[in-house]
Amino acid sequence: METRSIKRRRIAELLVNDDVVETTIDRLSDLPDALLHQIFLLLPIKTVAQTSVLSKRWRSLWITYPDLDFTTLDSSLVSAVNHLEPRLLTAWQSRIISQVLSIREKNTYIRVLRFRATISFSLLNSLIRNAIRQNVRQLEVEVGTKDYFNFPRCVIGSESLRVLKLKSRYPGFRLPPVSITKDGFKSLQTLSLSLVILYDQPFISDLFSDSSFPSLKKLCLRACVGLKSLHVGCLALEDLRLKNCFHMQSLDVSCAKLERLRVVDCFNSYSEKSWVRINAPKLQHCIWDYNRVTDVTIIEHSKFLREASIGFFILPKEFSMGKLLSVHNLLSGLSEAHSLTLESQSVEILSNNKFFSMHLRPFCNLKSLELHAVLKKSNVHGLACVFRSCPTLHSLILRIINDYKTERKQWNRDLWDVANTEEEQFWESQIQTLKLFLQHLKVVKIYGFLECEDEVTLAKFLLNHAKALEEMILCGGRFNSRDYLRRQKIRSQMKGFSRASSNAKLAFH
Amino acid sequence: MSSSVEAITVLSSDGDEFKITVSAAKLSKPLNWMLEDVCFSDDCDEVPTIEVNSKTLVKVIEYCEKHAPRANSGASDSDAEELKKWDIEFMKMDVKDILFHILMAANYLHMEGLYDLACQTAADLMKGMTVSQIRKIFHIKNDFSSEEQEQLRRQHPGCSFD
Repeated sequence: METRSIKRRRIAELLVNDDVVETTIDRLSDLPDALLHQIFLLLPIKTVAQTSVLSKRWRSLWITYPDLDFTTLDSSLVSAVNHLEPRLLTAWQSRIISQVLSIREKNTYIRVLRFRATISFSLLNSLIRNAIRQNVRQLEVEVGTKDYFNFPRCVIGSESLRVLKLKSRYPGFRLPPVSITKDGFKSLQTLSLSLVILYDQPFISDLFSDSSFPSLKKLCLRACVGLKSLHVGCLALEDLRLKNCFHMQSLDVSCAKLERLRVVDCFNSYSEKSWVRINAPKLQHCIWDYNRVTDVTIIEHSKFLREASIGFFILPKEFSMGKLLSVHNLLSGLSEAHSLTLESQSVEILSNNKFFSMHLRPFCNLKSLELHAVLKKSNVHGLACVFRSCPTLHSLILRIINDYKTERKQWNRDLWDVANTEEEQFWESQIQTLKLFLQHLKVVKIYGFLECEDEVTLAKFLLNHAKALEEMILCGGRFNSRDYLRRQKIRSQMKGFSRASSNAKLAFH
Repeated sequence: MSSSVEAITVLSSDGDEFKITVSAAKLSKPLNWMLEDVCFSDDCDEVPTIEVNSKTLVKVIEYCEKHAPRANSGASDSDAEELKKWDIEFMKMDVKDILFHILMAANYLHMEGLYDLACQTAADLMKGMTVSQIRKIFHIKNDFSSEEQEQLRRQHPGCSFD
């Protein structure tokens, strides 16, 4: 029997010496199809296609390759100018797609077909029909056409299709009537539509319902032009996203399994009777951003809610009592959240309306709060109002928006100056009502901290009174040289502020 | 298996013995199952065989031992960065001869990290290469007849993608 050391040496030699026989054998071609297809996935489709002329084995690999991603054809151009929308293939280049589809092995399926192209509608339709015939599972298409563009109806009856993403660059497409989609889309799990022209059918009430889309889990609608009213009631739906549906006036979501809801940049029309009703008892994540405040909001509680983010697009002086109630309902509906972000317009609404200082419902589970706000006098009341409603908050993130419109007053006081400013007096007067908040707060991060009076006052108040505070981080961005000395002086002064918590660390970034 | 065992012995398909630490073996699901099922204590005679040849197994074990500390404890970004560099160096060896074996071994041993790394290495060797270069690198024999080749050239879109 060999000793271990000899064995070790032999193994080392194995590694050093080239095995002469080994090097001349084509081992790669012997790998199983699935493994080589896995390698193909890492290559642009052009390279994959080229391998088809290597040998018969590789040709058969190519004509059975299930992941046809033609967007890699122009990847070099995208990375060079990635702020632009990716380039569409020209009509001439698009012919390659139909050639590739036509030479495929019979009885193989297509896992993914993905392309971006400028093509005629008839070519688009024939490509999709061909893919459906080959049992495509995931179809992702982005198209610009010079003629008309209808929803390709051949996808409706497909039993293999799991994912359909259809994006029109121009001119936009229309949806087929419900009578045709009914009992279709048997296996579809993800549907994403972009630039849909709905002037002719502004009310979608029974398309996204129990009978159509029985398996749909994820629905994403972007730029539905002309859509006024939308009802979504799919039984299996877990994720709903709406974006840029400007004309929307009413939204009715009633989905027992919905976990994620994201509505951005909707309800921008000037209608008088906009309303939202959301009944999603399993909701976990909700993003409501840059929407105009609807006249009526009804949102059912979800005890599973983890994360919510609320922002609005508001026009000055448009606030009626009805709209206040609507904001109130939205906030109350999301009051079970563990993590909440309020965008600047939400903070403005809370600050400018006394109504909320009386009626804002407490966020009893809230552990993490992020506020985006312009720090000005009126908003300080809004902040106090929000803090009051967060009795068990752990972590507060404040992003101060420093725009040129807001005049900021510099902090200009000596440490031994005992006279309180008006603002300090205000915060001191809140100690009683903020008692619970000050008992639980552990971490404070303030971004955009420029050592102005408002933020230094707030930081001082929190240092003085937050009993459980562990960490306060103040991020101020870059100094300009003119300000350097002044800001350094304020910082060293702040380090001397008394702290209610002996563990509290103060750091500047 | 007693918890005191820190390394186990396995046999390669060539019959050589190899030591692999328990934490490194955990990177592979089948090895992990073996750890649970088979007795690995010192007085146990049975040494399990892994269907991977010695030359490949050395590399696989080298990879496991390097990656085990991170997989078991999680690591900082700088460690991850260092590991990435190590991976690149690791794959620089006479890879074309042994790459096939490493791919098969990673597949057989369910080692996701090594599998991805090996696939990426194979893909990088093909990227930007002409057909004849790829044939040369991987010793792929052209088995098309000249008529077939002519036909391919005429109808195949693969060569007309520009």
